[in-house]
Amino acid sequence: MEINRHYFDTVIIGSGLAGCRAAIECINHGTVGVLSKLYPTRSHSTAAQGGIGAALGNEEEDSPEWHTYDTVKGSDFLGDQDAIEIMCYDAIPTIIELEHMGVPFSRTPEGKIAQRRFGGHTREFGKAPVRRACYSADRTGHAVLFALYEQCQLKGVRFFQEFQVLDIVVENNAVQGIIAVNIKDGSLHVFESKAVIIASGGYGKVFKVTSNAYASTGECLSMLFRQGLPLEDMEFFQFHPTGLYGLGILITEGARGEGGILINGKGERFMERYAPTIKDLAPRDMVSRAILTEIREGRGIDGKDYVYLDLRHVDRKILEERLPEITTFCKIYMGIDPSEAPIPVVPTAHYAMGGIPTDNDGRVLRDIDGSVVEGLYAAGECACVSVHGANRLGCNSLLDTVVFGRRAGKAASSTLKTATKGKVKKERISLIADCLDMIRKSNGRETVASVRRDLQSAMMDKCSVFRKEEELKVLLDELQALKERYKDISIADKSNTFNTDLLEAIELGHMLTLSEVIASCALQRTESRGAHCREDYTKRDDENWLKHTFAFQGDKGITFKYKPVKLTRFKPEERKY
Amino acid sequence: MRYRWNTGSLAWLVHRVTGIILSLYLIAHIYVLSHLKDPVAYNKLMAFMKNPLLKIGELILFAIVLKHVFAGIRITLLEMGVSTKYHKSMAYVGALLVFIVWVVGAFYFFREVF
Amino acid sequence: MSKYYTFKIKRYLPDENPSTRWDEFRVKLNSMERVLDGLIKIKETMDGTLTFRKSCAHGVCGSCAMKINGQNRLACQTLVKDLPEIIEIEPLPALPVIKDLVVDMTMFFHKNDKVLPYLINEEPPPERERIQSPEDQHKILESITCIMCGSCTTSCPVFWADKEYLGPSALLKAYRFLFDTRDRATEQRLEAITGEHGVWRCHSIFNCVEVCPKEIDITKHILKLKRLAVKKGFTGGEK
Repeated sequence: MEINRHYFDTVIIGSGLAGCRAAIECINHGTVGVLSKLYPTRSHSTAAQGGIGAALGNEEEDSPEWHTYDTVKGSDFLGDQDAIEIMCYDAIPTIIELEHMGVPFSRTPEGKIAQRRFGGHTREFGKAPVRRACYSADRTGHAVLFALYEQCQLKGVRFFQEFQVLDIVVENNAVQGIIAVNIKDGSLHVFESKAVIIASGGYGKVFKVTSNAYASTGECLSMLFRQGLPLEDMEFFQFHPTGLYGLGILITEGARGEGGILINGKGERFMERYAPTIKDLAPRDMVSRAILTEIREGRGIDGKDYVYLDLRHVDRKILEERLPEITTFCKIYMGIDPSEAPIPVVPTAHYAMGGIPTDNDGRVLRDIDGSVVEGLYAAGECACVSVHGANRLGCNSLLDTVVFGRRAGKAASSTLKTATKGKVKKERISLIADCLDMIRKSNGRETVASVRRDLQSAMMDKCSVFRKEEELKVLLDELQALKERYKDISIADKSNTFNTDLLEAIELGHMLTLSEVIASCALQRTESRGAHCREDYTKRDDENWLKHTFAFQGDKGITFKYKPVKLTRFKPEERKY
Repeated sequence: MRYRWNTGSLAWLVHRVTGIILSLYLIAHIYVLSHLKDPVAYNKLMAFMKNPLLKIGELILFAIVLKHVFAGIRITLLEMGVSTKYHKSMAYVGALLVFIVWVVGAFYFFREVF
Repeated sequence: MSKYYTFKIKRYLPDENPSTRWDEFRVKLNSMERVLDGLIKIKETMDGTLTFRKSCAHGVCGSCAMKINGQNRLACQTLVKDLPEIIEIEPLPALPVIKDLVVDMTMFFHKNDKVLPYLINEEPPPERERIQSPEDQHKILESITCIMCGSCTTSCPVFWADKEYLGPSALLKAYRFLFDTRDRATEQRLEAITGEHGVWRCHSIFNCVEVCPKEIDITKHILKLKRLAVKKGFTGGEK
């Protein structure tokens, strides 16, 4: 079969914020090719609503030190404090740089970047909420993504849109390049390079109810894992407290930042009981648990499985100006006007704290000792630096993507002079080609859709906000059964042209791998920390578990190693808000 | 290709179609006039023009002129900065004005003719 | 609350058959479900070869624009309860079809490239952000919400007739920078949009406004561009 070969100094997988930001850095030093399975501006970064955190102090006094503390505390002390410090101090110049690139931020009356309150962001180490989230109405991700993509175009970054990555080739502890398929015509393409930056985003689609896009399936993580590389802290998956009931569509935390409150079936503002100081602006893990606790204890709306996000008392003008997008969502999908009726919400799978372990410059780690894979970098949601630890604070994800996208880009560029060009061997390509052919010709009894539906339901039921040993064990058995069923799938579409049936089958295989890692990690960690809440181990256990999980693919299943958390300034303390 | 018609696209279509009809009419008009070389031919034509069918034709022509004029005014107003919020109401009001002016015009026309 | 809908879908499977055909599927959907949910159900349970783009599923990525009952819309933003029982679905008009509901958007995106779609300001940046008043930011507020789904440009009769026409989406992009107080490339950009296939081709048909899933009044923006062009002397001919 015909193979199309390309060479770029740097190849970037993913064209969201992290990918585009890295590309802007790399294009100054060599050629850059960016692959995206969508059109670049369709990347899921565009769905980020509320804001991007930086202690600019435009609206009130703020400092990066407070930001650092909040992020450490938000991470339930699992975040590496050196990395967090880098992120929070880098935040200011990074946001200013974004503004210079053309991001149309909302403005204060003096014309500076406007900022608003967000969950877990406080002044003076937890005293009161602070305005730290820089925003562009409730379309911040969209505004930043477009500006970055536009700068990439200006600088001549080459985009390969609708290319699905099939393999990231790591040999002899160095990245050689990647193999991808052009979705449009099914042709195979090999990209060799000196550096590969993975910025492929999250994998929320392993859960049934999620705010994530259909494209967020996490295959790149699984590709590395299957080659024996580790994944870090996969047990930590964030559920955003306010997803539209029944749909999982995100309603930004900014809604609560602008004054929205959560109420239960009795009409109580229940967050007062869970986080007396900052109430509805507590971190997401706490709010999600609080909502589900209310529902479990029969205090959902009319005893049902949702609560209300109430924006009725918020000035209509604020809704129109600062939250237009979510106002429209409510009108379109629920038929309600948030200034007249409360919004039914329920937690929705939102963000993966875990991912590909990297150092502070985005270099992908291959073990807990800090050894790296030569030439391989990761940034954004797919990576785990770890700045988010066990729970990410709102508006720190966009920040993470641009700060570490930039750092990974810089680090990759700095090695270009000395790095050798990667070489992807023929055997590896034919292996992938055979694999594609096998799925295409598959003739089993199962469909991708039914296996995927059962996977998503199983993960949602047994591995979402609350977890316990028996359930996780049952889940792992179910996942084994699903993997068996996956071997017996068939796809209806056998063609080469835009074969989404084939791609979904490939994605599903990777989703199964990732789900197994998530469930196994969750079973291992016998404590409750951040987003990982074990009902059988309800306390945080710093003595035994103040460490990162590294999961590896062993010969007989998944094996684990642990890496200590980097503590610098802030000693673990009880997490109260 | 089938595509749903909206107020804006219908207004545009009517504007174009009336424009084309008027151009064709104008050509025919000039052609006929330029061939009137003597009084006999002129009188013959005038007699022919008394045909009631042609009278109705003239009324239709009048409607087309009006429609074209008001469509042009609407577009000009939009180009000059009248809010696009009113583009639909302007199309409806225009149509109404066309009708009113046409009825009034037709009234005088008939009084003249009969 | 559930109801049966008939999806009439225009199919084109080039690997099987070079001609197009119409297929009908009957799908049961509840009142909260969208056309996209219907398409997914068909793909999952009736015909796996049915092909369409999708990603965010809530109207922010712009992947699933298609012609639904004669008008361009986002499938993820169109609730079936608002439609008649027979739902007719075709790919976006006037673009080459790759397969079923998937069109080749290259031509569409290429139009954007022509209007210099990036902030140009070569003055040395200040230490902090460039100052922009909320009023000035509001001037571009509507235009920055564009998700480039392609609904507008492919609904425009001028584009149907002249494939070179920049079209509403690219003109809106031009507006977004021309009216951004931080941008300095006014002349270059006006030059780019006032050519033969540029802003003067817009006849204020408003099809783009009818279909924009973000409810952007695109024609209003294009009219403002025309007025700016006149004011600055870019009237199409020699300056």
